[in-house]
Amino acid sequence: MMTTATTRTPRTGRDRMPRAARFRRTALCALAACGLSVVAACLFGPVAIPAGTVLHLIAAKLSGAASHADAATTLVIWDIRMGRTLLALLVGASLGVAGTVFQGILRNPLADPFTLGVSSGAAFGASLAIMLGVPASLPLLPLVGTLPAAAMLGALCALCAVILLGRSGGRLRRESLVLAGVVVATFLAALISLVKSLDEESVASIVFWIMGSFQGRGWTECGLVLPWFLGGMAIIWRFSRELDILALGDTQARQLGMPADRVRLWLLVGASMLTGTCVAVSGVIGFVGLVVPHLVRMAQGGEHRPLLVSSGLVGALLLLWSDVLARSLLPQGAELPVGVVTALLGGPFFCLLLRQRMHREAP
Amino acid sequence: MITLRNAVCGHGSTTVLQDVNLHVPAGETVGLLGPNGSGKTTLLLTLSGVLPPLGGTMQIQGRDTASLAPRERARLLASVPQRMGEAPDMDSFSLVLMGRYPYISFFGGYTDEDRRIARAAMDETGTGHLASRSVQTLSGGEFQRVLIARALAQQTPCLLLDEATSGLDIARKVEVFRLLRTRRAQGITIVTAIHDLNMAALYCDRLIFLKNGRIALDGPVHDVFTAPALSELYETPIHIVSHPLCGVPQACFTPPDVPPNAPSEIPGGSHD
Repeated sequence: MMTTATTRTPRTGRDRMPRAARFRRTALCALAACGLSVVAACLFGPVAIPAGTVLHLIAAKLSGAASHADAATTLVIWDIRMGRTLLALLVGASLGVAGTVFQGILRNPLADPFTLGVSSGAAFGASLAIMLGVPASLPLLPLVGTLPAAAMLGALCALCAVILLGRSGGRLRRESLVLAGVVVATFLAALISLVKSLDEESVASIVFWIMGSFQGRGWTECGLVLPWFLGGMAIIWRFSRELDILALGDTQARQLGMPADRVRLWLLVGASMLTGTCVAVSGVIGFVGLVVPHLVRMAQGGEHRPLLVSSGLVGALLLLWSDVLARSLLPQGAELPVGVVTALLGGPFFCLLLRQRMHREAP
Repeated sequence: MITLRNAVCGHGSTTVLQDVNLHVPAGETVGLLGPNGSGKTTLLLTLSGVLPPLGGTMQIQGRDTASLAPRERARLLASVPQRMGEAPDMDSFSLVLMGRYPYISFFGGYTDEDRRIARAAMDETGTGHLASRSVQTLSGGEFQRVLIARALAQQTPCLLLDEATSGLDIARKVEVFRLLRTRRAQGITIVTAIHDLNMAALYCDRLIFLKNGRIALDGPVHDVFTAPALSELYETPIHIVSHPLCGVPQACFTPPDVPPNAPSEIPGGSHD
């Protein structure tokens, strides 16, 4: 009978497609989209350049051949737009991965670099440096630049504060970590406001830092980010299998022979390295670290290794296109902060998905 | 083989059990019984290293647990948890494969050998067909058997179970205990917390009763499974009858409207 046949279908729609196949589908789509987007993103900007010229120039640069484009076009396409696009790619991937790690460690779907106060710490470090009028580069840090260094320092200090506050009885408990993170983030936000009101002149640049932007950033910043990016990713990848075990809870993790606290600490350090460098080069960009892990989990679900790969790719994609919008929505070369775009894009989309899921899961 | 000397178990500053002296030789199956809150889970968590002992010494396979690294301990002792809070989003095979975590090298992953062992453990627990199913879609009984498979995949000489069969129907319960029997024959030491008195009597060699923060009773089934002892421990009248086929003592609970001196047909079953 028909009725018996329908009761035998799998309990969830997800089961119909094998997990590995779902992962391959998501990752391959995202990877292909990233490649196409990098090229496409170079088409957008205040200076109109024909698509043919752009494609030719990129092809020439990649193959090492000489191009017949003039110096100004080369500057705009390769030095400015390509550098900026690649930076957005790196930062987006970092934020997506860091968000997945934070949500995995804290087993809290609301966790992201903000919840733990890491972003706020970095923003405060930068604000303080702006207010104190620290010169843009110091002889000690000729390459890094003072502002990124201050942001990184702020991120690490915030992380240390959260860990010290969240420790109880020598253990890192996830409930207290979230609480400590919220406390630290709120406190730092108040401090940033204080800095702003103390120093009216620098408000514009501080606000810029808090909203996040890729304006005027490019290859130099890519070079700054890359070592931290690779280091953070390496740490996270090494402990990615442990993320799955952490999801079972500390009791089972210990019974399986995993030192849960040490693993959590390593993962926190790795994710904070990624977050700190992101804030250092582009300011605080919200929503990517929160929305991307959710999106990916809804699309493929399952274990953390494939989740991390897909989160990185989807995060990169999301931020790249947010930046394209940020620099092309306003007329005459004016720019929106990219953080505003990600929040405007991510917020409603996220609500829609969440409602859909609640609808589906309702009995 | 598990040995505890004057152990004190508890969490933080709360002492739950004290004066725990215990020696479980290899190949013995021990049932851990006692009223709710008597410390069964605390004792198991202390054995599995989740709770550090608050005093005394503890040895597993003759090795002092204080000097054991978490991975080394997980190669000596596997645990089957009571229940899982929320099921993680992964397939059953991945969950079972985690039983091989204590064996993987620092940078290496699970090997083909690990996968083979995990698959064998699933077959042994009758969960092979669930391998690619998401853990979230399993029934309670299926989930419990997958967790048992994970503990078997750990290939440890000692196995701890915390009420691992309480959620299962009677056929599944018997199946799990049969499986544990075959493990015992291979010389595996098993300690299982268990609520079901009759199952405990049928499948354990020795029973340990916990009450009021101490070991109240410890001995072979035939010695400790007596009407006076059980009635006192559980503070409720309990009669003992002999299993009609194998003679193992079984507990009968008496409803209040049965006269206390009703004649008993089965020898050894009466209790005054």
